[in-house]
Amino acid sequence: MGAVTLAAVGGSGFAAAADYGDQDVDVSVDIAKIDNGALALTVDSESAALTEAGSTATERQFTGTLPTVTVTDTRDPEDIPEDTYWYVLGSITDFVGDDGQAPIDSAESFGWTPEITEGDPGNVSAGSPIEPGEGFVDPEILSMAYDSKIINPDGSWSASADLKLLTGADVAPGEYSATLTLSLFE
Amino acid sequence: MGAAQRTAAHGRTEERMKTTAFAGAIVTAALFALAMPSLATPALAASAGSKSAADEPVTWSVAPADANGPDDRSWVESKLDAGESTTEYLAIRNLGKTTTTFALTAADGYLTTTGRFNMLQAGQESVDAGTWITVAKEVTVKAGGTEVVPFTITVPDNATPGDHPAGIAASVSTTGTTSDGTQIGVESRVGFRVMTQVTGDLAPALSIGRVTSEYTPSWNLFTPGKLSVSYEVTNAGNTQLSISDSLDAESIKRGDVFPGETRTISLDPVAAWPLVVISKQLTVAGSVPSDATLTVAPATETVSAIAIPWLHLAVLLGIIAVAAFLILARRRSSAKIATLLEQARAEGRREQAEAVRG
Repeated sequence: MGAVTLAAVGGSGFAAAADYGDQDVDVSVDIAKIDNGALALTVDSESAALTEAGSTATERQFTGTLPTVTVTDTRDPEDIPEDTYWYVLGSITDFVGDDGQAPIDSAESFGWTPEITEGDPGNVSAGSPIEPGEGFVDPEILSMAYDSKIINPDGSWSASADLKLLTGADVAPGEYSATLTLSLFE
Repeated sequence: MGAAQRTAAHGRTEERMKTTAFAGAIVTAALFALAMPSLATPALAASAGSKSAADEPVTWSVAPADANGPDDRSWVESKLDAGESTTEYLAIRNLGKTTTTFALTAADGYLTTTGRFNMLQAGQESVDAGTWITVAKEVTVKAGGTEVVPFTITVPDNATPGDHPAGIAASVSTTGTTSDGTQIGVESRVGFRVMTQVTGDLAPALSIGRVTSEYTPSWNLFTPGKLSVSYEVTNAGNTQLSISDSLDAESIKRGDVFPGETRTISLDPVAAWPLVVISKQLTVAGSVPSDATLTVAPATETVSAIAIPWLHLAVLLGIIAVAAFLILARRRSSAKIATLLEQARAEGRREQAEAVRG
């Protein structure tokens, strides 16, 4: 109904301008649908070093920072199946010494405090902090409150974490190393 | 073209322009989202030393594919006989700025305590479906390119029937640049599940282990307290199960459990009145996601909790005490009144007797 009325009003206007000539120019652009969006992970090419800070007489504490990890989702939400969730979880090996020292048990000594550095905290959360001793078993560093389809429009989320290693003061000195694995699955 | 038609065409043009502007915004946003990580690099790289090609961030995605490229699957599911093998593909897309070599790994899959799929990390030995997958050790992908890599799943002759979970992933590992302090190498991987169902006798089963219940009384006489229940459920069969439970109420879905896994599930506290002993029926049921025709016998357990209504008893005791006090006090005062009356009457009689004598 409304369209008809408009046309009638416009009609009179056009009739008045008829002397000046009238040319409707069709402007259209075909932007192809992005068929190849993807759920991707971005990491910096750096390792994380733990340096001693905050040690006491009975405990030695080493802290560091996990390089920022970023998840981007450029898929068309139509292409995402219902009830799918992506997440990034961490797991860590024990710390092995370079000179035959006893390995440092990560379940007893390693912890982290993740924090979101980019992204709507209502949609994606940083995961709970793990204190050394609680056991580092598959904690999530980025986990969503809804599902992939719902939060897809946000596009990009980043997180980092403060790392902490707590050992007894009697830990054998030397260079230790461990591998922290970050996994993105959906 | 009539005036009305011209106006309608003008309206359509505006529509189209709005649509294209909107789509343009999406394209820009997508580009921006992809460009963001590299903007973040300089700040971080500076702290680690001089910037070089090796310090560029790496962005990649991994998805199941067919020989031509990514298909629309979220993960790979195959039904194979023991001794059979099949070839699948994974597509790795390098969305970063530098050519990168990715390591390819396959390992046993499992579900974490929160129900998330993960695969064993480097250094942990796979013993099941992880060992069935053969894939190239690494693949190099140009910036902006996609590589499709085949992998074969070979089921051993003696594989047991049922669901066998595994995962496959493409990863990059960081190398330590400073030797100061303790090094944590970071292996970052993107992957997907590879679920293989070996044909044969599918026997889904579940069992309940430890059930704990705790009653928390309310401090309000007129509201019920809360009963908290948690239980361990074990997938005792050979298929993946979707678990749901109910505590004398509606059934609630709890997620999936792979064969052989045990999960501890905690129910939301339910309202319950402290009727000395509370008894409820916990029913845990399962269904087989890969085959709706298979049924799983549910497990039931009676959950009991002692819930003495201390507050109510204390209040009741208080009421009785007050009532008893009032009754006793009344009796004492009426006894006192009776005594006084007696005395008054005796007084009266004496006075009368004296008056008569006088």
